Amino acid sequence: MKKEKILAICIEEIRSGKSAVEDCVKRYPTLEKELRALLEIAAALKPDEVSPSPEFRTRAKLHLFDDQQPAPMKISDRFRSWFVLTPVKISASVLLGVVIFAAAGGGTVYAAQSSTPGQILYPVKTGVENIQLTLTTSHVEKGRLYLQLAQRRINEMAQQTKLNHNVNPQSLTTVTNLFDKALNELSLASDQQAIKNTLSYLSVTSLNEELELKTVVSTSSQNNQPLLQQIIKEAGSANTIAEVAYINQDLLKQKLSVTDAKMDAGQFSIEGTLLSIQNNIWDIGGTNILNINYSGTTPALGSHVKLTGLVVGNNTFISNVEVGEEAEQTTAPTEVQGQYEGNNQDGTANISGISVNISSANAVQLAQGDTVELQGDATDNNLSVTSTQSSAAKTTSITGVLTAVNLVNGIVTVQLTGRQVKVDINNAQIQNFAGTTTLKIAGLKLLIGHEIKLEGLTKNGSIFSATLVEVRLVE
Amino acid sequence: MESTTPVHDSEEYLVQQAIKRDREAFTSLYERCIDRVYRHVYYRVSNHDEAEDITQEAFVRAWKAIDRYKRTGAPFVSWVITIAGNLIIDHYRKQQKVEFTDEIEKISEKDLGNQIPGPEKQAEMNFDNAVIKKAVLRLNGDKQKVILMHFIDGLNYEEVAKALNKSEGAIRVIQYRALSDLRGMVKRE
Repeated sequence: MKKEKILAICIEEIRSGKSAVEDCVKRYPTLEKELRALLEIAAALKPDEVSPSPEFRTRAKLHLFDDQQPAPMKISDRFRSWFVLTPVKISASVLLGVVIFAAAGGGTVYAAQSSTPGQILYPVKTGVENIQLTLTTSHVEKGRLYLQLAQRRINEMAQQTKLNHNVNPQSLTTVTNLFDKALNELSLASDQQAIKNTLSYLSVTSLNEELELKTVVSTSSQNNQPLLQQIIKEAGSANTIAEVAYINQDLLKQKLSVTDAKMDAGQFSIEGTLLSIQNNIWDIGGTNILNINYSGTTPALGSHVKLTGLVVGNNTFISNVEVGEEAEQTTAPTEVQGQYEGNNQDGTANISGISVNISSANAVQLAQGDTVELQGDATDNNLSVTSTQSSAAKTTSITGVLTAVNLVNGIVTVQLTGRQVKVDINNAQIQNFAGTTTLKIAGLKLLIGHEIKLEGLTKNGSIFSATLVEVRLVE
Repeated sequence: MESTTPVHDSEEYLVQQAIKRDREAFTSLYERCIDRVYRHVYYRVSNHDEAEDITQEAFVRAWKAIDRYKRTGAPFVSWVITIAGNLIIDHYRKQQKVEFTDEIEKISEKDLGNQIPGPEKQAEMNFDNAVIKKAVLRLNGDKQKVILMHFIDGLNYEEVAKALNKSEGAIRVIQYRALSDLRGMVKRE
């Protein structure tokens, strides 16, 4: 065998841990001396154990698709160019200098990234952000940048709260504006795939933000609590918008705001037999859903459907349609889930913007804001309340398709709005949606591909934890 | 004609999509490759700011030129590293410095320590490594490429061969000669 090949084999064996230098050279005594010297050199060849900083990764990713990118410069050159500036040029050049410095990640800019409001470097941080916004022209990129800034402001609030500092009430307006501006930018964008990616990003980050603030709100000062509660609510609304708009981008054309109470109250699901479709009005087992916005394939009349969506104003945005088998002879029972918003003038109940008749025999007292489930059949168009959850008891939940179960660590992976999230269910109760059957984690593995709902979410480091897992068993 | 449907998270699929100007696919490639590209650049410039500048620019140029990407069988990262390598050469040319050698001479142990994150990592960085790094950057042409691709970028022989359009046998020969050269240079230090 040629000595080059012997060397190559030895290098691979040593690098994979199969052999030591001595084991290898002993096998080739005639090459021993030369081989040992070369293998020692080879063993010393390794990359520096460095990796790019998270700030750089984010910044570089943000600029991946920039048409104009500042050419790489050495720090020394940057400073040299400052010295040749005449005073008249300075004011116009300050902006450019900061841009280049920010784009290249100068030391001050780095240091400023971790600053919080009130600190000396904080204006540098916000200054760089403003420049980034000025330089970002694409609607989608700008929308994403607004979302990143909202996330940053929320992280700052959480940080200040942990340190028992008062959060500036102005921060609430800032975050609200950032969310709303992001949604506005997305409503103006045309690249559907890019919009989808940004909504996917919003879905997961808003959930993270909501949970992060929930972990600090209980220990925060009285001053901070109302403000944090409001932001939690806005993050929840942002999450809802992302979930629905991911499937139905028409929602973005509604000029949405995360302060709109409808984002929380308007979420609904209805399951039953599709009896008729007329002028965008779908009759599901006797309950009419008005002004449907849905771009998917319309299900066949008579089929068993489950619609999930959001009612905004007079419009109903469908985020998901599940179609079952066509009903035989008798129609399937109708189920409605949503938030009770009081009674309409005609006496019907308003469930997330959907008018339903509640059976008079069903004397359940509902309070505004309660999450309610109703069931009935199409024979008399009346529904009975089957379960309620008071608005005060509402917990953060996510619904998605189970994609993986890690039996060893008790962690499930759920497909959520285009992204996968991992949730620790070690301390969770597992049951089906009827709430009657308790399942084991091992049993979940057989249910991959089914929709599951994870409730009582909290954030533990980088992973979510749930207290309740509900599994929808699709027959 | 052979037809294959690549797996949706495979590099092959992502590259195909990126060539069709799919930003999400290219972003996925970026996330997969950035650590290796950065490590390669850092190895050659030994400066955090410059490594970041060059790495970022390499990906921006890769996106602009993605439609010219030719699949050779070498991993996508090797193409971005080639772009980064050209940027490093341009960068030093602009500085009007002799590439690498003079620059590397200036690296003190203290400087190296400052650029390695964490005290435990600093302890691992000894003088021998700095000497060997200096010697690698003095290697010429294919010898340096093979050593960097195999030992620093983590490509296997087959991938190096495809990236350099040579046979695996030729790569082994170049590697042997490169290590012999390194041994000679380190002895003289």
